[in-house]
Amino acid sequence: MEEEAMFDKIEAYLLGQLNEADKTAFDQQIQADKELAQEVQVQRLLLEQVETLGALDMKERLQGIQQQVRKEEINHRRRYWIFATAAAVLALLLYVFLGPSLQNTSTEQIYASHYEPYQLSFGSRAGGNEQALIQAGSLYTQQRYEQALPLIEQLLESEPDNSRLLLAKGICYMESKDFGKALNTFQQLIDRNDSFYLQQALWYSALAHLQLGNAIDARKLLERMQGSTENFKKKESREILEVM
Amino acid sequence: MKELTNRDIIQMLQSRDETTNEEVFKYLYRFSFKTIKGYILKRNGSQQDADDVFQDGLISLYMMARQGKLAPDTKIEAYLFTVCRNRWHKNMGKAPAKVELDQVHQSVPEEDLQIQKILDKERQQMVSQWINRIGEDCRKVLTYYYFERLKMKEIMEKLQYSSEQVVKNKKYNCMKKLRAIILENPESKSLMTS
Repeated sequence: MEEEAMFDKIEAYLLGQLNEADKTAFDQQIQADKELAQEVQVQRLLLEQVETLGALDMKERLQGIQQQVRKEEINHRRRYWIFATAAAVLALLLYVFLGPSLQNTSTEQIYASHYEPYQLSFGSRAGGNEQALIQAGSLYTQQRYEQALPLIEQLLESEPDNSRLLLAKGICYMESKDFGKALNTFQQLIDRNDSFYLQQALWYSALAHLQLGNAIDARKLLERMQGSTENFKKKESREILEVM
Repeated sequence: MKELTNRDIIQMLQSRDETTNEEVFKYLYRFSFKTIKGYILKRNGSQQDADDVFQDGLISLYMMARQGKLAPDTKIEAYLFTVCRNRWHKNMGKAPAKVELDQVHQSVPEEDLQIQKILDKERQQMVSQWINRIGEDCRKVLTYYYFERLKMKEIMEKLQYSSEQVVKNKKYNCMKKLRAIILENPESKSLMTS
């Protein structure tokens, strides 16, 4: 057999391309022919070597592919973390900048749904200030708080212990949205521990704090109202505490 | 990425398009590597060992697919796991672990003995002795034909030869050249008998 034809035959045998009959016949030929057997061995080694080279090339290719996959996974994870971090930072910023105002909105809402000016009648009484008292009471009842305020202050100068006037003064401040001064005024009533208007002072102070977003101060005052024997706004104050 | 069936994987491995081959390898890295890495790391192997063994597993799978030795419904995951596990045990100088049915669920095609030889380190070392002497064109023709199992016509198109006969002659001459180089090497005798 010609050299190249023999090469092809052995190759077909080694690559499993011979049919069953040819393969059996060739097996027998190999057994009988030492030289052929040797040739098959050599060619098998060559084939293995070429395939090994292919495998080595492929290993290199696979390393590249693996690195790509790893990089993609790292990027994927990095993107996830960037996203997660951005979301966390955004949430923090929202909390820092909008948090207090969000809180204000809700406490303000409580204020808005509960506040109403206290109904006071100043009454009349014999004395030098009777005229002024009637006038102030009239302005207050007509809800002309801005005009009532100077008269009330004037009356308080001569009657600093008048709790009713002090309460009216606080309400006037509330109406003119001067919550700081309102709080000062109500505080005087609270400090005085005048049992008659204490509950009112606590209530309006709490509302002023709610308006200003001081939920903690408001809560303290509302809780204090729960311990009172007076029923003024006790139920409402409990409801607010529950909401808060 | 959508889930690939065993059939898809085999077809993609057999594809003549290199990008398709790459796609399927990426898929296997994403979905099958973890199990095998876990197996090897748990048995005191390193990350490098896991990379190495998995690469061999993929090469074995590729060759089996290219040589038409995988049935279309072969469980790829099970094949890879078995091959990698056996390779790892062999590297550690142990006998291959008994197949645990609950791990593999069903019989897996035997890895070709020839492929096991190819992935043998000793044989790989020998390649480095002739690789630079054979020339780039021979290297391409031979690996395309014997490793990737491309047809003469495909090699002709890929390397822009004028006819299939030219490719065939080239292949024959390259093998002769390789034969001369390899037979110079006294070590080749020992490899021939094994």
